[in-house]
Amino acid sequence: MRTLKAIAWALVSLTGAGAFAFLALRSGESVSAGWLLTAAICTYLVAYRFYSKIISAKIFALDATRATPAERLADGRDFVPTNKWIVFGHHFAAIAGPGPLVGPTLAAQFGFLPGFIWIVVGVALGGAVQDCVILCASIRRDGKSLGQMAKDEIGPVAGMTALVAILGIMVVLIAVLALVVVNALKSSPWGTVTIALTIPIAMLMGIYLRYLRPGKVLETTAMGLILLGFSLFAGRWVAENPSLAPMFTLTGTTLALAIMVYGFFASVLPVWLLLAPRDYLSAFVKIGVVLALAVGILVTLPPLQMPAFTRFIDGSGPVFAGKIFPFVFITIACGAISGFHSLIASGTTPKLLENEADARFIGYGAMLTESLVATMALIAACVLTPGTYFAINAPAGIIGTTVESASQVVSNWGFAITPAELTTLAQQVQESSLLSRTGGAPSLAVGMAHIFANILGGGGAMAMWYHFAIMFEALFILTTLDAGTRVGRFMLQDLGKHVWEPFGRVSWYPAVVTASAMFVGMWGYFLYQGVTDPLGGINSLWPLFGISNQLLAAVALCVGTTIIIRMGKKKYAFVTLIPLSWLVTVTLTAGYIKIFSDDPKLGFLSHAALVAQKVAAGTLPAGAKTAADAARMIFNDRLDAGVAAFFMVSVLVVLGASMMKWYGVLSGAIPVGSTEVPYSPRQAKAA
Amino acid sequence: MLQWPSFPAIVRMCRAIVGAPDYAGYVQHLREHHPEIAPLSEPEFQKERWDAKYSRPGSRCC
Repeated sequence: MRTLKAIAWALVSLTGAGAFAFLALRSGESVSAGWLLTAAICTYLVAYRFYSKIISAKIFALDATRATPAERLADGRDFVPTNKWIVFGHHFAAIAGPGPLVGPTLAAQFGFLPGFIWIVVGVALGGAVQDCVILCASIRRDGKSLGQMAKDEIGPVAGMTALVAILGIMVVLIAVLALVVVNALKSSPWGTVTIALTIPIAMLMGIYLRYLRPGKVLETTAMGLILLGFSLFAGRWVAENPSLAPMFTLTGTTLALAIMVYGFFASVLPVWLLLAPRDYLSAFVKIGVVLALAVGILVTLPPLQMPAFTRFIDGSGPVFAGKIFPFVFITIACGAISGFHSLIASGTTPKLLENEADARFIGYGAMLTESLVATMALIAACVLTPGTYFAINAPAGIIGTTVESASQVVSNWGFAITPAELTTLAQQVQESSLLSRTGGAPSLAVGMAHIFANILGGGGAMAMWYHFAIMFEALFILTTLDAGTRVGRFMLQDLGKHVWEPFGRVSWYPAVVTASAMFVGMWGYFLYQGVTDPLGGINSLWPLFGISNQLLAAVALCVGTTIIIRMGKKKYAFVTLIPLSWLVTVTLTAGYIKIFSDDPKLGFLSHAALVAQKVAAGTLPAGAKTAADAARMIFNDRLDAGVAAFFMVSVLVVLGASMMKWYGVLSGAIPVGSTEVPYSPRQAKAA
Repeated sequence: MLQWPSFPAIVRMCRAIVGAPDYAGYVQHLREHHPEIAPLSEPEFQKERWDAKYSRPGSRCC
């Protein structure tokens, strides 16, 4: 039996290695998506079987006889012992957001291989390790949050820095996600109407759930899903109606303002009316589409049109500037490693586990699943011809605004595409244009529509699938945006109460409105900056988001390393030290380049200097109509540089404080000792 | 042998995955462990759970 198992694992490893070798060595012709899936899944299996065992068996020695917080503190509310498959589903639904869809799509500009290797290797050695270690640490500490653990394990300075950094990250995260939605809905009456209708649908669901059938979540969601289907057709009807369509053909700035108003109301209105029902709708759509995409890719096994590497690995890419190192590693955050997950792994999930031995399956396993989603998103982006991909994802400042100019520029890069092909594609999906729809969502939607229409085709199917995919992505993103705005409001109020006590009262309207407006103003500013940026905004905001998310991961890994060392398991600290040192290197390099690079496409400060030079010479830079515009561009560049610097300093503070702690333990000044809640036996209960 | 789960079991599973408030579980918990406490009504419980969920980071991600 033992030998048989060993042989089976050797086969899995060999298959995975073989698939990787095939992908790396094959050049020229297109490869099938099946090779990517094979390489990814074999790596996941081996990583789960062997690497995650170090965390579960050697470091934490997860013990099925030990009572979990869910059992000891059971309150029927937060702490509820729950079956492992359900916790897995719940945890996966909480960690899987738009991040793993957008990041890989953007990183496809380097070709499929750099992003793919980072997604697969990064998750095995980084992302899944982080999620699993933080989950185990939190379970052993009554489900404490990351901020609390940073404070208790490392020190108050680290705790405070982590809290402020989390707030900053949320601002950048929401701004960039909102920008993705704006770019997807810009001059698209079909998409705009469909998404706008999801708001009244959610409100109807909310009223039904509160007054008519309290607690009937599934019944309400089923009705919501049917209405969502209607909204897709309503969108098409409006888009085909010559008198209505112009009313819903909105510019980027109008949409940005609309999203800010929406975010404000989501934060101020009662949760039952908007947030909760939207969240249910989004959760079902999310799980459904992820499964459908998996089936679609497995059934069609589409060939990848994108080469393994493109010429843009030299840093001259149109989607975002910068070389493979370090930029592929910050462009793909979620899917490889995402700091935000540490908030979930130390939030709801540790309060649900009925058996702590399940933490390996849930912490490590759910993250592998998210990585698989990222791989599928990468596949969906790479089934497009590179010409199509770049025409959709390169900003107008580079490829111009007509199909002729776009096809000329993109073909000059070596990715042949004709104006007629671009026009036909836009007509197929019933959009006025697909040029420069930056942000990743439209190109992913075209890719998904391509895969789905291969299975369920027919006249007009492509347009329906495209708008379905756009609806799915926007629904997803807006659910992160509205819930995030509300959480940000609470965090602001919590910080503000130290300055003025009444500001912290969560149901006092003046404080609620002020804090909400402040938080919306913060992300709204960055959103507006992105929308008016002639280079599309994604170029400056997405790297900031990636840096901030990876730095939060670095903070989480600092906490994890400190916990492992204090447990006296320094021998195994490499498990968190490997991803920690890699992330610190990557993010500090990327942050430094974004601030100080001499290339104005890359460096915030040199771009500001370039604009200032032009103004001084009496000319205006592209995208600025007045001197005031140019002044604002300079201010924004400096602000972005300041934000990047803030994140870098934050992580250095936490890293410094952690290293002092490690030194203290390793030199014997701080005694080795567990800070866990002491062992208590699990009540023998049949699961 | 694996048994196909019953319809109510599937409903419970779906509800738990999307994080819908589990009123029955809450009432049962109070009855078993704190019989002296009168449980909230279902709408009150639902509101309390939702307010708690959307006031802290850790329930949603990017």
